[in-house]
Amino acid sequence: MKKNNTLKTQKRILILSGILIFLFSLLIGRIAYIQFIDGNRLSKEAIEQQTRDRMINAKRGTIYDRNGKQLAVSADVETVNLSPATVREDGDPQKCADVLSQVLKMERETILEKINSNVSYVMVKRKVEKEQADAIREAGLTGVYMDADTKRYYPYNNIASHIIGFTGTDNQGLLGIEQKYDNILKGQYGRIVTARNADGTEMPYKYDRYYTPEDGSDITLTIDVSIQHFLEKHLDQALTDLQLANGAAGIIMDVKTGEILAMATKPDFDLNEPLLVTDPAEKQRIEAISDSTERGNATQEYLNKLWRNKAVVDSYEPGSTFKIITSAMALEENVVSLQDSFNCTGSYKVAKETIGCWKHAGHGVLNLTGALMNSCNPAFMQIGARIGQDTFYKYYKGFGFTEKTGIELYGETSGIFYPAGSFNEVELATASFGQGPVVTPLQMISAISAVANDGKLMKPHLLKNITDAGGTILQSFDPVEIRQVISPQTSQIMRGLMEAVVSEGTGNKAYLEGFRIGGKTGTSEKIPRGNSKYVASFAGIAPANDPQVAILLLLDEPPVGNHMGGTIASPLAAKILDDVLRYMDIEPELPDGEAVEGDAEVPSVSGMNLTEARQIISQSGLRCVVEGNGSVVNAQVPNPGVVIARNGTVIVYTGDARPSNSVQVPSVIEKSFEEAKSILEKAKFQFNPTGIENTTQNAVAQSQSITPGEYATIGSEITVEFSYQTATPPQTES
Amino acid sequence: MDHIFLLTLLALTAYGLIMVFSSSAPSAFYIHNDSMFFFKNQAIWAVVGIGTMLVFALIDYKFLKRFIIPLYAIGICLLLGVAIFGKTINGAKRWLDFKISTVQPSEFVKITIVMFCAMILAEIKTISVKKTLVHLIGCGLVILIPGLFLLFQPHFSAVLIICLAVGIMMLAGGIPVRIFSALAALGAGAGVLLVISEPYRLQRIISFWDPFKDKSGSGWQAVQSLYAIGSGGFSGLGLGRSRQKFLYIPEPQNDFIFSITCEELGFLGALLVIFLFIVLLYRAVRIATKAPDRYSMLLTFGLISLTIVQVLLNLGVATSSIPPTGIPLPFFSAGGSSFVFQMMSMGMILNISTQREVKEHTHI
Repeated sequence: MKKNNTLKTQKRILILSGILIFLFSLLIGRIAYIQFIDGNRLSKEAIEQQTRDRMINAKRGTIYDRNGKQLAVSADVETVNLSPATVREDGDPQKCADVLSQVLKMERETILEKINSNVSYVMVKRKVEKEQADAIREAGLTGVYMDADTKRYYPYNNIASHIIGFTGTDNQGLLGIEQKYDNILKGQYGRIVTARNADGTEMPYKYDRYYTPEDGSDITLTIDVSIQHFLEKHLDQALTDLQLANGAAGIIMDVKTGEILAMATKPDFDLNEPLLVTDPAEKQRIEAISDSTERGNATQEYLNKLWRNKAVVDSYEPGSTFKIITSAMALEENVVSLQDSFNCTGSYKVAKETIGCWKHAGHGVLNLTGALMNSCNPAFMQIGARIGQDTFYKYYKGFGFTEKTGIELYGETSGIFYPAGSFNEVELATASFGQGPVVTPLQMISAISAVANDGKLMKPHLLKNITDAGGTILQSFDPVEIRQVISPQTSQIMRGLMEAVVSEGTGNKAYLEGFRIGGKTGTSEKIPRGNSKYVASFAGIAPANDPQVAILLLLDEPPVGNHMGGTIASPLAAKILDDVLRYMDIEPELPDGEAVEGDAEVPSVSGMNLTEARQIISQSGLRCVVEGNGSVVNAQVPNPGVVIARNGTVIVYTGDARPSNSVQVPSVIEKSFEEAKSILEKAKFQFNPTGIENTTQNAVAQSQSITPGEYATIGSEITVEFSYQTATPPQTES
Repeated sequence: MDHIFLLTLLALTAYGLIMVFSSSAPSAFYIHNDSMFFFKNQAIWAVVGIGTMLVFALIDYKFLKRFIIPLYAIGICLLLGVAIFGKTINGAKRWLDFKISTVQPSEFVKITIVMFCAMILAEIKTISVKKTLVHLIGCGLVILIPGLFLLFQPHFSAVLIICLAVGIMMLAGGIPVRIFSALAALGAGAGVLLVISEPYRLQRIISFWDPFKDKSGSGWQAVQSLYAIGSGGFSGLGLGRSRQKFLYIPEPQNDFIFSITCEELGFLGALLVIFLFIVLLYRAVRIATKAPDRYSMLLTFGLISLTIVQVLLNLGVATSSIPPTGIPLPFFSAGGSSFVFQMMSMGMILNISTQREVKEHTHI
């Protein structure tokens, strides 16, 4: 009996211990689960609480223009942090508050609050300059730490603001190239990891790890800051002179490569203060809002509008500028020859719609050149009809209007058009003269460039190359040909046509003595129609015989009455191109083919009408500057017979304008060649540079023949002596 | 004498001592300004414990059996002493302060209860419901008086351990499963009542389901323990490299020493701990099945159950598998007197192992 019982107990002990071992195996499974499945998450969270992780920002890459000028640079600054527990226990809170409030110009109370806060680590101030940080270091405060950081500077302030973009407080790119190429520019931040215990103080053991930051790469843009400056200067002027209600945009592109040389949107903003509301009216309006949330929203709304890159984001109806495209299609398809004639009676009937010409009386009989020069709508409706919907659509697509250009910026739009095969005759008719298609300025300039560039559509781009911190090129961006849209022969004809429009047609205000410019103006009414809101534009190329640059200007909502592209956009284009072409050292080409070198005698033009006078002055190898609004020349400076340098300026006075005899001579000392020239010519003096060899780059004016401040007769020659200065080292970067 | 059992015990003691040193160093440094503070203390207790074990290994269990009732009485007196003179730590009055060291009498009482119950259950000779009930009531009464004292301290976990260990002994001793089941249900009901009666116990159970919900509050310990285990991975951060011991886990040398072991030595270190305990259990079961009589068989199994139940509960708490309750890990957790009592019970098992050998020798 006892034996039995013992055996039973033995059996039960074995079963029970089996259960206990089973429980152990469950625990092993549980541990494995925690360590292998949940392990990553748990250890990550554990490290988070155990370490004080201080980031060291990598030095953000520099953004250069195509000539190596720094558009965006980073400078070293520091972030001041403190460990409240350490300051309280091992440091001197009062001294700490004193020093920090004094050096950082902060409220003492604020700093004491931070010292008494119940966190392990608190940031006192960011972006502290080196001198201040050094002052704090010298004070030797326990528990106060300085971490390296960088701050972004934009040496050109407003220039190319929409392209360059800016960064936020964490050095993250927020707009433009800064945003789009944030990953390339920012580099890899480094870290200092310090262990801390649950109380927030440092552990007694050294447990520091330092991860070196990797500096960001540099980006070189295709932008030329000088060209950008010319474009912006004139656009700014236009913005105020013309009272453009909705701003302006302009693009200058290298026709052959698709490189964007300049791209501007007005109004703009200072990249160093991107969050500032500068417009006085807007500022007043926003500050008047009492509710802080609404005020914030209003500010954000205003800034978002200001930050909008119109050249890429906004789309518009190209209007008459589109006639260039229509012409190119017609010529390429051989549906129109230069000899064909079109009759304009002031309107044209398509299907059941009668569509008028801007000239109600009609243009009469015109050939293609005439139709383009006069911007005749009925002629283009007829041309469009010959092209037909399908072919029109094929070329429309071919010129790249149906897709984004892929420019290296965020927010690009692709325009709007009728879906393929579903646009009717009337729509084709209006589209032929530029009403109906909605395109972006960037698409338009690319298409115009393709027309001029032997029919090759180039991909517009902003990036030239990416280099590492040591200057090694990591990636370079070569021109990309998207497709051949029209033949080189058609392109050649189109260049001639475009030049004719500028020299004789509606775009003649873009005429520039000595330079062969081709282009077309446009004026389109914004949708919804009938609200008297217009977009005046100019699309052109220069020089017409060998196109180097394409230009597109867009003036948004000029005041009614002065809203025609031909009146406002072409003269603006002329001014910009004058600066740009001279800067690019494109030699003015004179009708007689005379050499530019040597001297010229000033011809007599008094009493002539303006067109005649221009022609004669130009034939003498001189440039003509017109003062006044009349059509007859009543005075000129210099006087006839005076010998001046070829390519010098003759000022002709028309209407009420009279030469005032003497003006104060401005100073050009220390100015660059371009600046000196522009200053003296503006003051109506003859500019006679000496000491220039081969190039005007880096030439700095040393002396001038007439002392600044003295009075001299207008038209007097002022000799300016130049010497070369070696490139100044960058100031903002070490 | 079972040498493997003895070697396993020594291995556990050594392993535990290393972990006490490693896990306690930071808090020892912060609190006592001496990283070795807890280690030195524990090393002394280890020596005392091993000595105690050897002494009890030499005392014949049959001789000791005669003193069960006086020993049990001493235990109750000690509990009475706690109730009157006891030292309160963290709101619980569980310790007697003997100046050189504080002693937790419950550790001693547990052993006397197991001895007492083994004696009662050894009397079961036939399967008879009526007699079984008598035994059951006997065991219940043995638990009742010290149990009430313990609940009064309060020391719920000690009661739980005693009940579980005695329960296992009862099953082993021949209590029919259905009677035991009824009893277990009764015990569980009582447990639920106990839980509901104390808000802090209920709170612990609630936070057990999702310790991350209140990371810095009721879930703190569980979360910190999981962080430690999770950080360990397969081979751990390396001995001495725990980060969770830096004041994150309160008293890492006590109830959560296993978590630190997992953090420093990883899955391998954890497996080694469990392996050693399984070996200990296996050897004890071997000793029990070859024990000379029912009393020594049940006593061996009861004592090892007492140890293993604590191990399982401790590991369960550390891995957040059961609601948190303060149970030290036998042989590992720092805590002098409990280690000594632990070794005392192991000494008794060793003695029983020698008795078997003697019996076998005599047969030959």
